[in-house]
Amino acid sequence: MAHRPYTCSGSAGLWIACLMLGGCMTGAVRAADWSGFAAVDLRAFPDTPAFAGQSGMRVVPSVALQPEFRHEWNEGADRLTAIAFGRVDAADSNRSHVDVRELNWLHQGAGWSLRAGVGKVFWGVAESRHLVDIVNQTDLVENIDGEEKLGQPMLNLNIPTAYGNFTFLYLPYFRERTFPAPRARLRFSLPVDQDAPQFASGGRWHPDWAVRWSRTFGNWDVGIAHFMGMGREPRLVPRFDAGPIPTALTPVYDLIHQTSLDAQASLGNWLLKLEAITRSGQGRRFAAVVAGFEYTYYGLFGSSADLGLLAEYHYDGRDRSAPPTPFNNDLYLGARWSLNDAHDSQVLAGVTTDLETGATMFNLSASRRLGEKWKVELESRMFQSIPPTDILTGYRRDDYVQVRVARFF
Amino acid sequence: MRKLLCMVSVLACLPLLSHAQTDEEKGHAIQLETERRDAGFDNSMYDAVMVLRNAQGEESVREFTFRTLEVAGDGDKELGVFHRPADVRGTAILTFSHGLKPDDQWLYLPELKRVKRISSVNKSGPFMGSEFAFEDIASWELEKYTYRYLRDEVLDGHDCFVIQNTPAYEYSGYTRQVEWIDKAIYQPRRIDFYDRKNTLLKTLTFSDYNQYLDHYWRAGRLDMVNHQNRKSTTLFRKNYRFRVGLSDRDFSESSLRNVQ
Repeated sequence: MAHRPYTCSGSAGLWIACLMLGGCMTGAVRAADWSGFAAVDLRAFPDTPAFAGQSGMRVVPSVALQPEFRHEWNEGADRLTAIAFGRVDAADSNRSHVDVRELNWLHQGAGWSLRAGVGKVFWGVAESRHLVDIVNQTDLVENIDGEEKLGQPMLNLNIPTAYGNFTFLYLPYFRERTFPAPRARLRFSLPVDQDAPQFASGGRWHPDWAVRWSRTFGNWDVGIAHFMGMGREPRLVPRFDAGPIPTALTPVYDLIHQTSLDAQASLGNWLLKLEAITRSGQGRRFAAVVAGFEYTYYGLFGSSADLGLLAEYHYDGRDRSAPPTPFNNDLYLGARWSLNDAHDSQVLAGVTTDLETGATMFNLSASRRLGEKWKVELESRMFQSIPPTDILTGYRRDDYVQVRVARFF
Repeated sequence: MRKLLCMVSVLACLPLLSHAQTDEEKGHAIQLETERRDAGFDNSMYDAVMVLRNAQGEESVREFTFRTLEVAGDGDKELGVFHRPADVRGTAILTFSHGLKPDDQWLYLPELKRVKRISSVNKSGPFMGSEFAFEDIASWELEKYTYRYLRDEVLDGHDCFVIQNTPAYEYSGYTRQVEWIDKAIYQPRRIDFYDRKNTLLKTLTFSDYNQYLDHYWRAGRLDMVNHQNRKSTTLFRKNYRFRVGLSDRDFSESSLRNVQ
């Protein structure tokens, strides 16, 4: 737990000694602070699969576990964080996986902080696409929304100043994206062979760098960042194992430069959001933008519930030699209903439409806490009118409804 | 020149001429004294346990740590970090209050490591599902209200001023508050909140006062009772620490991202 007083202060060695003695001290000492969650998911697919060889399971169970460990010493100036994640999935052998989400040491000095080890950094403000977020690789098998991330080895130096926050990142090791197994649902028309990636730099050990400056100007928060190194989004190159028909897609990771801008503003009931990038190294240099707003009605009909209305426009100018994206010219419309009750009940529903092809994706997520330690979550996605040219065409028969029951500890 | 001097001397004498004070001036003067006595603590932190009770008496518990930094010439900076319930652990709210100007407020979501702006319009929304609204938890600043002295009254053995506070900031859920200020310590003993229809909505009582640094009084227990939905929330504030070396850097985006 952050910033709790510890009498067991001093060196890391002393702490390790404390830990080995099995929490030898009493009172305020918290030698080992464990937390995390365990979850059971049931994912139901009403339609039969689109491709021969895909699992015909209509209800796919899976279980996940995320143990978390934290310890602070030096009155909170130093902290060790360890977070592991694992899932076993009945239908997707690639989704049955383990990952070190975090394993890092944070030191907070006077006017700077350094995080060394495996960590996670998120940049961005938009709801429907995470365009500027580039530090951590997407754990795509966990969720196609791109919000689940793999742990990234890093040195992360943070310097807050009167002129804004400066972040410097050295990322020595590359993590490749996870993709569903050929038998699994929610895969592309051709399965991606996640175990045979190609790296422009030759291997996973490659020094990537990123720098970000962010600052608040009145109602506005602005961030500008630059990343140089292996892009997290792979090109997907058809592989011909036997004859002229491709059998799989090979992920190819290129060296890129990406400069990004993110901004959000709070103006009364309006929350304005902007993310923009320009990237070179994958085809001709291109730009992409997400821009939109969230307008919130507070205290709906005299209750304590809030209703937020969201709209976000997507533009992406990449050419066909760049990694595929469904967001080239799309509009997202959504609604967020927060009950603000003791159970923290929330519903978010949205629909993303391709303005050129009419391809449509519906999203629904809802959650409610039960008692002190349980949470039930509902998630549903539906795909409609996806043309064969859209990267998401492989999802066209993969509408699903998922119920998750999680126990926090 | 003589005329000007005369005016200055008359103005200087005004606070002493209590019989010439209007109720508004007296109310303001009392709250000015409240502010004066509370100024200069620089920074502080406490651990909070909040017990929420619904109309059936079922309880749920929240725990958080609250840090405050006094800012000269502006409202305080505050950082709240939640520990319980377990699913919101590590969630944090950073607030820069600005008196009458809209506050700046950010929410940090640890699972995504995401920093989101929160709209300052949401003053009357519930804080953590409790009967405390965001505006009840926010730091009190003198200029946020206009004041009117109502009467003197003894409340539970404490000699009090009774003052009416009318919110001067936008988006408040209240038309007015009636506040009992203990004459001995210049701290609130009770506040009645009247909703937008001017009906009694909630009563907040302050108890278990302790004095810190031989100067600053802080209530260890706050009980908020909602008369309309019959829910209540008790907020226990423990482990008050003052002047613990907090600075602007502890209330920055980078500190928010380092919460967990």
